[in-house]
Amino acid sequence: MPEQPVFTVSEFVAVLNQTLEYAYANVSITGEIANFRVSKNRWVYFDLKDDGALVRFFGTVYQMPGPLEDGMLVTVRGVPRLHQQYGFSVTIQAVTPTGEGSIKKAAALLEAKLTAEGLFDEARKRPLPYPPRCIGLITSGESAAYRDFIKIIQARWGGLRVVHIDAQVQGEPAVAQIVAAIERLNGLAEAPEVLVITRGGGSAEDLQAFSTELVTRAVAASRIPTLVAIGHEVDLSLAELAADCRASTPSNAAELLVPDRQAVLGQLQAQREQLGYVVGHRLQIARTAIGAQGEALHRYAEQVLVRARQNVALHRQLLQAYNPQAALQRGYAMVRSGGAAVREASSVQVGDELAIALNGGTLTATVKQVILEK
Amino acid sequence: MTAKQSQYQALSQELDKIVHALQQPDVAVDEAVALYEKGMKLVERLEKHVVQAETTLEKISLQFDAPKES
Repeated sequence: MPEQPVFTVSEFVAVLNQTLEYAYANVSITGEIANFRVSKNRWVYFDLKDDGALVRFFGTVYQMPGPLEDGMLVTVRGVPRLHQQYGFSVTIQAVTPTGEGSIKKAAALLEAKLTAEGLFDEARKRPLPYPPRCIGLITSGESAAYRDFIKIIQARWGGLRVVHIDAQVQGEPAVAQIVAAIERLNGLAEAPEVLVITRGGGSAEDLQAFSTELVTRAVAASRIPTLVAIGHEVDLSLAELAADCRASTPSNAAELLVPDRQAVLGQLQAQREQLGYVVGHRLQIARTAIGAQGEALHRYAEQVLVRARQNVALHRQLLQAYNPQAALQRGYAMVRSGGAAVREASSVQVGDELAIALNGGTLTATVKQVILEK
Repeated sequence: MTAKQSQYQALSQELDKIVHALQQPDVAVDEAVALYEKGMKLVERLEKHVVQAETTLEKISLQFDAPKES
């Protein structure tokens, strides 16, 4: 029988860690949290237990999905390790709440914390451009959610640019991938005008990436307005609460983002008719005005003619009043001597030949006597 | 929101302005006819845009880190 090696304590710790690293580089363990505590806002310590055993865990707050507390059922991925002074523990890489009760509890704790920070305030919500020119789409490229969204978007509207990042939307990698995708789209030189983060429905476990602190904060921090659409019927995920806008399903997200082509064509037809009606009305007003002006012109012209006729008649009467023939008709006579009118009795001599014009003829006479008025 | 508008939005807003201008009671007839013609051209352009514009789809792949082995 070979002789067993004798280690120093430090050697034993080193050899055991080597063995552990070789055999269990990475383990996932499910259990109930006990003795949860956070030190200096940074270091997290807790135990996982079941009916038969208890294992210690150690990590940082950055690896937590959100606030945790004793009694919650979680699955922890980590590296088992024997510490030189503090004994055996598992160094935490990721913690995932497990089972509906724990998932809800974790979400409720995180919701309370983020609500207190104001992440879900209505005042933070920004309007989405309508319709946007460019959409950033984060979802699994293999999913029905992706196909539904693209189908509805293309059926409803055109001229869009859709930039898609294929990201897992469930399972452990989902959180990191969704966060990276949000950051990547925000960093694009030609950034989209709206980010759509979507997936279809699923169990509480399937959807839990959308209620993690990292995804919720990434949605809230996006400089590009966000639309989160998770297909489910009951509780909203925290990412939806943090989004600028939420939709019930991927198809509903597409419907909210762009107008329907047929409805817009109908509106355009209505606008075409309105334009025709308005210009027709304006022309009718102009025609009525022109008609009224024509009538006024006609009236003024008639008035001028009537006045002119009256004027002529008046002058005729005046002229008639001054006609010498009229005086002869009334019994007056006109006397001429040598062709010139005789205006004074004193200009006539006895024996002068006179022509006396009367109504109806002329008399010739010789002056027998001139009697002058004294 | 970006300040730049889509072509559709810009055309649509221009059409709204024209309809509004046309509805003013003091608009001159010559101006009304010119606005009408401009408005009808915009309606045609918008219809064309709505019916013909195509959506482009781009894909960006992210190099996601694999879970770190430590």
